[in-house]
Order: sequence, then structure tokens, then C-alpha cells
Amino acid sequence: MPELQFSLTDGLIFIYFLSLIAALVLGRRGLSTTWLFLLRSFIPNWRFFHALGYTPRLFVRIRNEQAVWSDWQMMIPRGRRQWSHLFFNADLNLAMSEQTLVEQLSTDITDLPEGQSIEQTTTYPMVERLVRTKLLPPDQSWSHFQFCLCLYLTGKTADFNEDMILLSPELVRE
Amino acid sequence: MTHLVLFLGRLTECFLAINLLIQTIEYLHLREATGPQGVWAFSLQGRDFKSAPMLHALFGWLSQDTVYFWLLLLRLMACLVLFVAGGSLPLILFLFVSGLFIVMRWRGAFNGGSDFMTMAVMTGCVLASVIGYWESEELGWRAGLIYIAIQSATSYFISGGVKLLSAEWRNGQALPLFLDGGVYGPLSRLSPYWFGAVAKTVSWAFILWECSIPLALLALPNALFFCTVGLFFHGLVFWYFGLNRFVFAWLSSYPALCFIASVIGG
Repeated sequence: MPELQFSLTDGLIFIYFLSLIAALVLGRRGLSTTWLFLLRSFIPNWRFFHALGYTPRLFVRIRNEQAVWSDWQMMIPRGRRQWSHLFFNADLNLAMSEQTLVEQLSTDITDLPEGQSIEQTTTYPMVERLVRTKLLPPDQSWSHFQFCLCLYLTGKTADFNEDMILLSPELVRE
Repeated sequence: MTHLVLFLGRLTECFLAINLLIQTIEYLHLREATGPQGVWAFSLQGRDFKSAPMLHALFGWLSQDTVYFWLLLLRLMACLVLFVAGGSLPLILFLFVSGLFIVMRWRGAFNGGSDFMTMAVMTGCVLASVIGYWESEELGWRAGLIYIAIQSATSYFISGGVKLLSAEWRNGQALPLFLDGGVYGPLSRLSPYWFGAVAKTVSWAFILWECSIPLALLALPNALFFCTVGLFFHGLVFWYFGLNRFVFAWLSSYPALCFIASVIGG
């Protein structure tokens, strides 16, 4: 029986035809945007701090037992600068990732298909949990809370009448 | 040339190992966020996989606290082996696949651009290992380093080009506003970056340096100079924006830039 031998060229030709088949199959089915989103680390993104634009910011407020609402408090990732963070900066990176989640919620609102509610997306319950677990004060002086999302120009202050793109229902403390 | 290629390939592995080691230690620290009560709990994030039941089941299993913990520990050990002994095909494939799982677990990216560059360097190493296994190690690293260099050089050039096309970057308006809204903000009212001339000078320095990447690829000394300034640049980005992972992600692509420069420059 003759021994089979493959060269690099054979391998590359094989990969080429495999990608053609994949393109044909995926072209028929249509690659869902969810999968593109989950694999976006493979898609080059070179626009770091590229231009000033609209920034989505998350705001939270609480209602006390006298049914008085507090002012809106903005969530903004902040940290203290340390040289050691060059090698370990987990908490600040997480805070930035939470802000990315908020930005994703803003994108989801814009891209929401007709007839679907924002609560049905993956991002909304994650943001609600972010508010519940990290943004509310631990004391017992309040019973309800609410969050909202405002989209406004970098460097400006939010105008809640003009810039609000999402207002959650009044939520009960768990 | 063979020695240089293999040396630069090995250097890429060492820098990548350091990068992945830091990332993995951070992920280990952040397990609460991906745990059952965390914001990234699979009970919430699993909705992304509803169209693929088998992947949903696989990711559900991998996302269990204990499994995820052991996966990260295994990855930690793989990083150490990569640093000390160099990569083998199974080791590189494990790091690549587990890295893919982790970024998908964080809904596609945990730290934006650094995830992209880490995956680009990982892909270059996979390419080097696969071709090295099939043909020769040198040919493998040539292909891998070219792939990494294309990604790295393009990242700088496009990033600089996009800033160049932005009027707010050219007139220095963008920089203080990004710093003000950044993780170490708000910027003090007395900060020199609020002064137009300072902000404009710094902005133009960034733009020109990023756009100068084609010149860096013409000769090895140019590339070495570009990479040295690059370390300073990423150091500043870390200092002002807290982006520590960017330093190591791009550092691991620098041997590839030097390789291209040595090929072009002779």
C-alpha cells in the first residue's frame, strides 16, 4: 500500500476548500449577529479612543420608606492609580468591562427588533443584576430602586428629559 | 536568518506567556463575577447560546465554578510551561481554545482591544505550531510572525489614521475629555492637558508615532526604536487609562515587527 504524504501546499488547499464550504453553508444559514458578537475578539477593532461621540451612562436612584426618591447617581468606573496595577489590575478591568456592558445595552436598544422588548435581551438582566449587586447602598433605608440609561455627548452633562433612552420599572429590593 | 526567526519566535512565546499569565491570574480573582450570583452568571449569559443547544450545554458545564477554576489553573500552568520550555502543538491549541472559551464567557471580550491583540498573537502561534508540525519550525514561525506583524502594524496605522481624520484629535480637544471621563478622572482643572497647546502637542505626537509604523518596518534599527517608543506609549496609556493588559498584548507582537523589519531591511 503506498504511503500517503501531504505537503504544506496540500494542507493550505484543503483549508481553502474547507473555508469555501463553510462560506457556502454559513451563507445559506446566515451567521447570526450573536455569534459574530461572541467572536468579536477575532474581528479587528482599531478604533481606540478614536473620536468624541455619544457615551451611554447608567444612573441609579433609590426610594426611601417615605416614598421620596433620591437624585440620580451616575455609575462611572473609577480607580486609584498604582504602579503595581501594571501586573494586576483585575478590579479596574472588571469596572471597565461593566461599562462595556452598559454600552452594549445602549446598542441593544438601538438594534432592538420590532416587537421585542429590551427585557428579553441577554444584556438587560445582566445590567439589572449589576445594579442590584454593586450599585445600591447596603443600608436598610430604602425599599425600591430604579435605573436609567442616558446617551449624551462626551464632556457634557446628562439632561434626563432629552437624553434618557431607557427607564426601568420601579424595582423592589430583594 | 534561521536563528533570528527561531529566536524571535521564542521571544513571542515568552511575552505571550507573561501576557496570558497576568490575564489568567486576573480571571481567577474575578470568579465571583462569573459565578452563579455574578453579573456574568451563566444563568443570565447563557441566553446568548440559546440557538445552539449543544454549545449551551458545553458552555454550561465549563462555566460551573469548579470546572472553570480548574480550567484557569490548568491555563496558568500551561503559561508557565510556555515561558520556560516553549510551545508545542497541544499546548498552544489548549491555550488558544481555552482563550476562546474565556472571551466568549465574557460575551466576546473582557478588555476590548487587548483581547483582540492577544487572540491575534495566539493565532500566529497556532499557525507557527501547525506549520511547524507539518513542515519545519522555521517556516512555521515565518508564517506566524508575518501574521502577527500584519495585525500589529495595521492596528497602529489605522488607529493613528482614524485619529488623524478626527478634527477633535487634531485640535487637541479629544484628549482631555477622554482623560476626564477615564478611570482616573475627573481631570484636575489645573491639569496641563486642558491647555490647548499641550493637548495638541501630545495628540499630534501620538498620531504621528502611530502613523509612522510603515517606516519602522523598513529596517531593524527603525523597528527597535519604534518598539522602544511603543513601550513608553503603552506605559502612558496604562498610567492615564489603566489599560495594563494593552502593554503586554502589544509587547508580544513586537518580535514580529522586528522580524518583518529584518526581512525588508536585509
